[in-house]
Amino acid sequence: MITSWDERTLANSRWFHSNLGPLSITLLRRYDEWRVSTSCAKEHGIHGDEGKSEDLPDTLEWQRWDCHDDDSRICLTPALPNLPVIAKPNTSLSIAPGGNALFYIGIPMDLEIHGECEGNLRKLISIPSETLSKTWHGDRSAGEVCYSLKTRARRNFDPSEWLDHDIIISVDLHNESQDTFEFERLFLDLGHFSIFSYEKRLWANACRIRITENDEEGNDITYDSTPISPADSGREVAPAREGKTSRSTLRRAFASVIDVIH
Amino acid sequence: MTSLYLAALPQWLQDFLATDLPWKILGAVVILIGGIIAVAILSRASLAIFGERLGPQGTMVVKKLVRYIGYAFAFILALNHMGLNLGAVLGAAGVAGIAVGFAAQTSLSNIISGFFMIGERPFELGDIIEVDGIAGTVDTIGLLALTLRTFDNRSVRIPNETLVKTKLINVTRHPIRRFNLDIGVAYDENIGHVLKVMHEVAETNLQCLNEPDPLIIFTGFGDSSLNFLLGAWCVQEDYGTLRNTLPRELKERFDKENIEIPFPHMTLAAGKALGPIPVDVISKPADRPG
Repeated sequence: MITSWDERTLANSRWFHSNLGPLSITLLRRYDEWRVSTSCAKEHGIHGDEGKSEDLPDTLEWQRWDCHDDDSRICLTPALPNLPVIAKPNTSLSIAPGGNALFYIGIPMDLEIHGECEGNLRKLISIPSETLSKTWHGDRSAGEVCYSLKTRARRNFDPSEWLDHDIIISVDLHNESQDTFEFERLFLDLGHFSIFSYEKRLWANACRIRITENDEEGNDITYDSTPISPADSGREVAPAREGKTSRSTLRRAFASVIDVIH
Repeated sequence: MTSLYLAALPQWLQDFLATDLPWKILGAVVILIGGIIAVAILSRASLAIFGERLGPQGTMVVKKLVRYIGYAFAFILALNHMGLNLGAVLGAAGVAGIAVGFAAQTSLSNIISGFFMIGERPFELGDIIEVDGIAGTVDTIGLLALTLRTFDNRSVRIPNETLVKTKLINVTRHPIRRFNLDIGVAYDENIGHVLKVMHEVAETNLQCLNEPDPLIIFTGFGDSSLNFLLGAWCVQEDYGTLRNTLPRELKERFDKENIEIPFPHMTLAAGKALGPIPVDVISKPADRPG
């Protein structure tokens, strides 16, 4: 598992290897090229984390990017999936009027590989650790495609229950309406979440969703600047794709809450 | 000084310049140039006014229309300025128009149908449509016809009148689409188990959307099989991939679960159901030579 998100160097004819959930990823610097190979973690046949190019099995299939002779820097960055996610708890939960519930949702990370090209770090590839199935958010004539995620939506955090390649998002639902709220599905636009590293795990900044009577006026999502405790002292390793915001004023954010209600 | 220059010109030119005809021609030229400029401005203005409402193809037709009418109007104005009797010209044009109208009924019908299509907007440029059993991408939309590019890269011209008269299916109007797969299994199979397996296959397929829920129903008792329908939703871009992956994954899973997909077969019975057909040997086979 990748434990360091810092920039590193890879000399010519050297490789670096790591597992990412069910995937095995190998990065090789050779012949003025960056080469990346992904395969099933159980079948890669690579021994060790680093080595010389001669030690690699011939069976690996590579994707290649041209670079300069002096380029040697690489950087691996975690990322959230590029589509919004609809998280469905395995069993629904009713939240009484005035009540609130804190959930932890684990989202399989994407790995972005940046390699030095002509002196600058350039994104080479983004590799999803798990291929999520798709779902539709909206009606049959308008909407957007999302990833579907079945989640246990845990109420408390137990490290043993989460996979190493999960990015953990805490969602605090506050039911400020007069009706009981059935939590069956949650639309999460991932653009405003940053990623933090804390004790070898990845976390996203915490978010709070307020459910009120009036969909258009009251409902909103509030993003904290840090993850929930104890990961609040974590180090930011990837900024939010669409920039940081404390409160979403976009209609899409309202739509997410409206969608939760329906 | 000017009269000296004029005196140097040929006599016929001097006579011509002495009349008001040169000024009329100059005026007509100015009207024509002004007309061309005005038409260009109007044509652009039509883009701004109708752009959003009529879509790219509607705007294109309106622009053409503005241009043709504008040029005709400028030409008539120029002729009028020259002093031509427009009543007689227009009268002759009217008579000619009736004659041409009779001769060009189909073309006029296509033009009018084109206007209806612009107003109704059943498709846009780039949409995939099906007309008269021909499917393809809408390439161009003209005053008389649209051009469809078929999937094997042929260009098909379909008159606008045909579009109005016949059934037209717009395949890409909505962002998601359902792929229907009919499948039959042997009569020995458990219907509940088959439904469950089909559900799991749809759920694990990467192109099949989880929502809207896939439609999985038992459609009835066929001649040789229990029949099912699997309707899987996908986004338009994934349709081709889903068409390939879903049947393959379903077949692989059925094989794994030992669910038989039967071929059409017929049981022959000699009166008594399920009894063997009696066979009588009427002659011994001839001995083989050697």
